[in-house]
Amino acid sequence: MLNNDDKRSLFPGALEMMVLETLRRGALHGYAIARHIQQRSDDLLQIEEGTLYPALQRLLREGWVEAEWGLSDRNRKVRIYRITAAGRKQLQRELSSFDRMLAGIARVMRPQAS
Amino acid sequence: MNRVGRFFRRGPLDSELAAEIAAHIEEMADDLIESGMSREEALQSARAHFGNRTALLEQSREVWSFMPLETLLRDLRIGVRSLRRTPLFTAVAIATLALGIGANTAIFTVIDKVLLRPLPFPESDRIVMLWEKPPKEHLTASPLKNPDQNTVSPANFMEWKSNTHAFTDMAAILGYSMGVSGVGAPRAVNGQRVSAAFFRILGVAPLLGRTFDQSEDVPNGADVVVLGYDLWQTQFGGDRAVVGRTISLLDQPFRIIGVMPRQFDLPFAHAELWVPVQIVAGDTDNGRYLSVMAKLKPGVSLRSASADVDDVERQIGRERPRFARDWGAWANPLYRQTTGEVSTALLLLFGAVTFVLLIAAGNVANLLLMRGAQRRREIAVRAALGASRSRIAAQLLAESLILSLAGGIPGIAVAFYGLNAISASLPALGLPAMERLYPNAQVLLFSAGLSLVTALLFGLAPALAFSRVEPDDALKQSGVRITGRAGRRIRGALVAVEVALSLVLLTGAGLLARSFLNQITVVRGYRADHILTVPMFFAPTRYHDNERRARYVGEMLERIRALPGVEAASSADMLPMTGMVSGSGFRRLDRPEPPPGAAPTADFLVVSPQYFKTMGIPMISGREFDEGDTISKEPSIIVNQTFARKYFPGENPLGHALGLDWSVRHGVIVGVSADARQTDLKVDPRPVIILAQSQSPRYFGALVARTAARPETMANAVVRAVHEVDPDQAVSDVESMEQVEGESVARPRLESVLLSVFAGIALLLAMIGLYGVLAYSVAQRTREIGIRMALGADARQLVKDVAGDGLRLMLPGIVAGVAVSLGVTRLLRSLLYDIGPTDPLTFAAVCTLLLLVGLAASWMPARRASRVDPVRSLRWE
Repeated sequence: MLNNDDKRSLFPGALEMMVLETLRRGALHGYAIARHIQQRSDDLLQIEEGTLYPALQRLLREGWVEAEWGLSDRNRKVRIYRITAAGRKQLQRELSSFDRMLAGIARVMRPQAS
Repeated sequence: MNRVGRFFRRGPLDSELAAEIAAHIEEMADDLIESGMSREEALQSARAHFGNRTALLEQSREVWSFMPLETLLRDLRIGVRSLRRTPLFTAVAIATLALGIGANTAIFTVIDKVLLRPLPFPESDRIVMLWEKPPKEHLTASPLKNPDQNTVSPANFMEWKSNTHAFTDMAAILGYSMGVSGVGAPRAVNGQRVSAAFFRILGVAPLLGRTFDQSEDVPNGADVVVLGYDLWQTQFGGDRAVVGRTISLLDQPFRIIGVMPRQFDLPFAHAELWVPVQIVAGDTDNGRYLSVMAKLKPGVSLRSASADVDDVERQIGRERPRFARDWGAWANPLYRQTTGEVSTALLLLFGAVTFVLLIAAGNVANLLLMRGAQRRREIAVRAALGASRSRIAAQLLAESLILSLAGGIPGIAVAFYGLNAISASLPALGLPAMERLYPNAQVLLFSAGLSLVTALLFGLAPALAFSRVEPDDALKQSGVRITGRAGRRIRGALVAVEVALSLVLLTGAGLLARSFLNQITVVRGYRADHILTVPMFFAPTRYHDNERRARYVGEMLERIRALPGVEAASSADMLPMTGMVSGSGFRRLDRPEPPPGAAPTADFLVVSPQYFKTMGIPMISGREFDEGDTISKEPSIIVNQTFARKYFPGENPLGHALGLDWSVRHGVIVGVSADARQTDLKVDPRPVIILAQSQSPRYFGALVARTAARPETMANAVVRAVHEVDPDQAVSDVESMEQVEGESVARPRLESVLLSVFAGIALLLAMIGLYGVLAYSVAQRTREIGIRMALGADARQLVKDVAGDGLRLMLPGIVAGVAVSLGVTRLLRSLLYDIGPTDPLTFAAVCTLLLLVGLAASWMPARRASRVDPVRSLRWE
């Protein structure tokens, strides 16, 4: 039996990071965020779309995004999320630590030939 | 929006989220329709892609809620529901815990009050008692409980006062029972003669008026008295105009100058009034009878204070070797003075109730484990429905928490009930009687904490064991066969621990009980039955000269002896079994004088004619004192057999003369009495020199009478006879000798009874635990047993098997218990009389008892096993 945690994503916080990165380019509603992440990852990351919403609630709670009701392209009533200044700062922090982590993993996984 | 706002606005948030999710799914469906799906298909696929909406909504909500609190409340609700489904289990668990928590709360209340609460005096940590310390050879030979706490001679007190530097103030205290008259019936009260500094040291202001000052605490100073609150209430009805009035104490008028507030009392020396001690400087009286209290200067350590007073004492010893050679002095903190003796007993009881609680917790843990085993399927279903392991563990812990809280509340009721009983028995423990004890906020906090800790103790094992359930396994199998080897091991271990703990308690209780029996069955040397004792004191102004004193006692005895039903009557300066002893030096006058300080010492006793007849102590040779032993004649001496053997080996002591350091300075031995115990039942007979009251008239403390009928029935007649001689004589505490003895062993009796009660509870709980585990295992193995029966197994063999299981469960516990007891009972040594802390007989008896009771507890499950119907058990699925 899979645990809910296992479904969420690669590692805790990864989804939130990707959402912030997506919103950095402009305000979007939930479905559009999901689409964007899926397309950008070339469908490599299969995210259960519903998990987006708990993640968005966490981001709202931390004050990294804000939301207001608006209309989608299809004129449907949706909540549109926007990144805040604090959210941008947080994204910077996460990106740099993420880069370091990736670099570290890469060094371990691909040791230089000797 | 802030968190709190969200929390209270749960409804709108949920509907917003739901709307948002619906929009998401429809947007997706629209995309899919555009790519050519039918609307039906598109919606279905979009929903599948989205995932479990309910769970996600829940998770989104949890982001905002006060997670721990909310889940806890929910878990508690579920817990209550599930516990109510099994009322018997719940009732047993709660009762067990209530007992354990209640006993702990009660004992902790006493400990809090007695050991932890600071004394009710400001800066009480700086208040000390100062004692003289006899030379080493006296210390080891002394029958007293605290021989190193010797009272102080007035001369030494004056020296200490002027020559020490470590103290801001030093006060002498002299307990005195004095007749009060002038208000109501003449009555003996406990008074204290104290220095003016006494009130300064304790730092308590009077409720009314003032305390006495230095000018009144001088020889022939004013006769003033400060009343205690209780005396003020009982004798003066709390009259606030009492200050300035006069009462008669010791037949002399004393002016009341103040009243102390309620509860002003020394915990170890109760007094109802205080008068100035008025010590005469340069008093050459060599008696040591003052208690000395002092206050340390700020920053002075206990050790340097002791060294300071010891230096002064050693100097006195060098100046007056005959009196104080090799004597020392030391300071004991006031709080230790109060609790020193008591703490062993209290800590012992606290240990006992802690064991009881641990056993109770063990039982509940076992119950939970068994219940958990039956609930495996329920738990597996919840796991399959997505509950995480920590959620399941939290749920199980919540149930433990409910149980422990539900046990804690009646536990407090148990504590109140128990405290009533304990309050009544405090004096027997050597504690001052207190107002009703009740648990205060701190203690209740302690109980609450205790409940929580207990919940963790008994809840953790089951929670960890069952949160690991693999849903697939548990769901596939039928409930009966799952026993879980780990679960069984834990249960077995719990029972073993319970058995071990109860064995330790039983051993302790057994040792104390046997020590108590040893005390009450010891050969006393006197016959305690049919003796009436009448403690009393002279009013010194009326009987200030020796002739009058002698005549007064003689007249009282004459009248008492004339009463019908009185077979003999006498007096003694110290009643047996009251813990008192006085000793002094002596020498044989037919031997060369020993160097100063090297004279042998003996206990002294002063009695009237017929003493040995009254007490039922046989004379070995010579005679009792008689009317011919008058003050004008050569003093007569009686010695006991131990004295005769030690100091006149192979000689007849009769007719030999002794020189004495006390009272009459010399005398001739006229009789040898058999040995009798004097200080208390525990103290073996020691060498005693007995003097005649008619020749040492100052020394008088009680009348004794041997009666034909039960002594209590003669009490009134005897007191009347006393009042015929002097109507103002204060008399109180008339008791039979058996009552006096009873009081002297009240404390060991109480210790032994309390520990036995707790050990009994522990045994009962441990046996319930054992029974539970065996009964459960038989129920689990019904099928196996059925098969064996079907194959022709002997029912008796089955009984033996189950009983054998019981023994196997107990044995490790017994071994561990014996090992722990061997280490722990050592702590009892100071409480034991005439029995070693590792007494093999007690250990063997306790192990046998435990085994027998254990077999009895195994018997019922064993019988149930032997009655399994093979056919039904095989169908049972």
